[in-house]
Amino acid sequence: MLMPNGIIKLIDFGCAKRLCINLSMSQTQILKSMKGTPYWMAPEVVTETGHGKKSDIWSIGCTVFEMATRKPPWSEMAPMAAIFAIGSDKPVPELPATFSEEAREFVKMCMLRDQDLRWDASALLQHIFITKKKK
Amino acid sequence: MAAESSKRKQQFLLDRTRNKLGLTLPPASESPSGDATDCKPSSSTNVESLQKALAGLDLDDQQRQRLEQFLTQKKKVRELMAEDFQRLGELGAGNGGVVTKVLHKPTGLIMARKLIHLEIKPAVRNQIIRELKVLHDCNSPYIVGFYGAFYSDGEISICMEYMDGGSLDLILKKAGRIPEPILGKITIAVLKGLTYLREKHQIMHRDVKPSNILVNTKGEIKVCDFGVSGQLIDSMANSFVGTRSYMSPERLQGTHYSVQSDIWSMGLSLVEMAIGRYPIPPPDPKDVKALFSDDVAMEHLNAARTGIPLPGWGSNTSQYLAHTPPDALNFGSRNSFTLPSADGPRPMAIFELLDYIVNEPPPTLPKSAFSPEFEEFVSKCLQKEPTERADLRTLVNHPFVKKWDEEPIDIGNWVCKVMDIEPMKS
Repeated sequence: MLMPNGIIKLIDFGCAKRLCINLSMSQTQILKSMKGTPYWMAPEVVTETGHGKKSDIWSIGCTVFEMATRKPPWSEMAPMAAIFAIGSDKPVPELPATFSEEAREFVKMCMLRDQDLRWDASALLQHIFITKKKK
Repeated sequence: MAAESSKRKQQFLLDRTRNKLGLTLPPASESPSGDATDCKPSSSTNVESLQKALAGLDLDDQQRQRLEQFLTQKKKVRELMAEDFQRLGELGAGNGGVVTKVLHKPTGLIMARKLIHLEIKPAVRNQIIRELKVLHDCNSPYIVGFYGAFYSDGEISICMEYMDGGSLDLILKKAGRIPEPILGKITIAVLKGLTYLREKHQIMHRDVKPSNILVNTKGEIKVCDFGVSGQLIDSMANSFVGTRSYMSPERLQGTHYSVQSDIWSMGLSLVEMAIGRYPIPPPDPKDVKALFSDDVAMEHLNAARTGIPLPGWGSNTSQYLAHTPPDALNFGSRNSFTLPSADGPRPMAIFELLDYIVNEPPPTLPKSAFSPEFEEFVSKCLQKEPTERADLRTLVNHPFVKKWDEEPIDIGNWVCKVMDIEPMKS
């Protein structure tokens, strides 16, 4: 949410949902359940192989992609086709060459299919795309 | 104005990338006022032009009479407004909306009203209403009739002909399985509906599946919910995903697809209705065999006549849990599904299912449970390579179609028996 004073805050995260599902489902079922729209989902979310902290990082990449190009990756596809594209081993869309090398690399590091290789939040905060403007 | 035209161009290009044959969605007719209310198209104000349009269709006397009756009644409808409707009951949910049975008080007509909740800008919803107007010109015995569309209170309303037998997914639940003679008639209706959309309106359906095929107690079989508004398709892309898919392998794999994609969806729907369950992953042949009696031809003819349910997939069948929940449900409401117990088999995740469609052999009908013509027809539809798949024209002349086209089957009676309802008076 962008507030009138220019401060940006995250809202609407899924903890409440998690709490209420908790009453009727086991932990693994919650983590494996898939909901919402597919375009911002990480591969491990789409394939329902269990999502973790790094799944949110993928979604950050998609959000930056969306803010840069107006649409999230794979948006030209129908939702079902997007689910298949995200979950399969097709190449991940990259920002067009019109964007800076830093921005393109930042998105790329967020959207690595392998969760272990995908950068985490603290690493991304040190990425030149984030740090360069501070000077 | 320039922005509008460049948007159009983009939309056109988008459509081009999505289908190879260049079948485009019809251009939105420009309404000078930009008003979101639904005025009558010029073509239906004139009886002569209407009759001319009907003359171009290959109709028998009864079909012509019914179409004319529908259009005569429709003429009584002036402007559709939310206040004029009285809700009579819910018909179903899915496809991103809720469908209710309603009484249109000013005319006394019973309609099916589909409500689609969309958080969109006025310009976008006006465009959707404009694009939906093409439906006024979709008059065919195989297409569900359209009364009009309007916007009110955050929701797009699409008012359609009420089909008292309901959709084939609901019928399937009651019937267990659908007998081959009925499937023959369904196939003919769907093929003619798709041919009509293609030849008269240059559009493809895009969403053929049992829940989009409706029947009534008069014995009519019609398709609905085809992709007539590009803007509506785009606006809904962000809101819903189903839990199963009727999309062809080529459509799942990219943005290029054509009318051939509808053929796949029809084939998959036919297998589902024939065996009584969504065919992916394929059921254990042992379980399928147990469902069918020794004299299948007789069994099917009897069931078609009497409407007595055919044995379906009970909870004692091992494959039962693989049966995915009703399609087109909002992911958010998925929590309400009964999930299998921790040690039981888990329903296929949607990605696994899509991966199966793309990478595994296509579904088939179980051997010797249906006529050889039907088996062959279905296998022609379910070719993974779109160029190897039969096209509409070939299928219309297929022996399976010929066979059931000549057979007098009382669909209306079957619908009444299966759904335990009386024929509608009109």
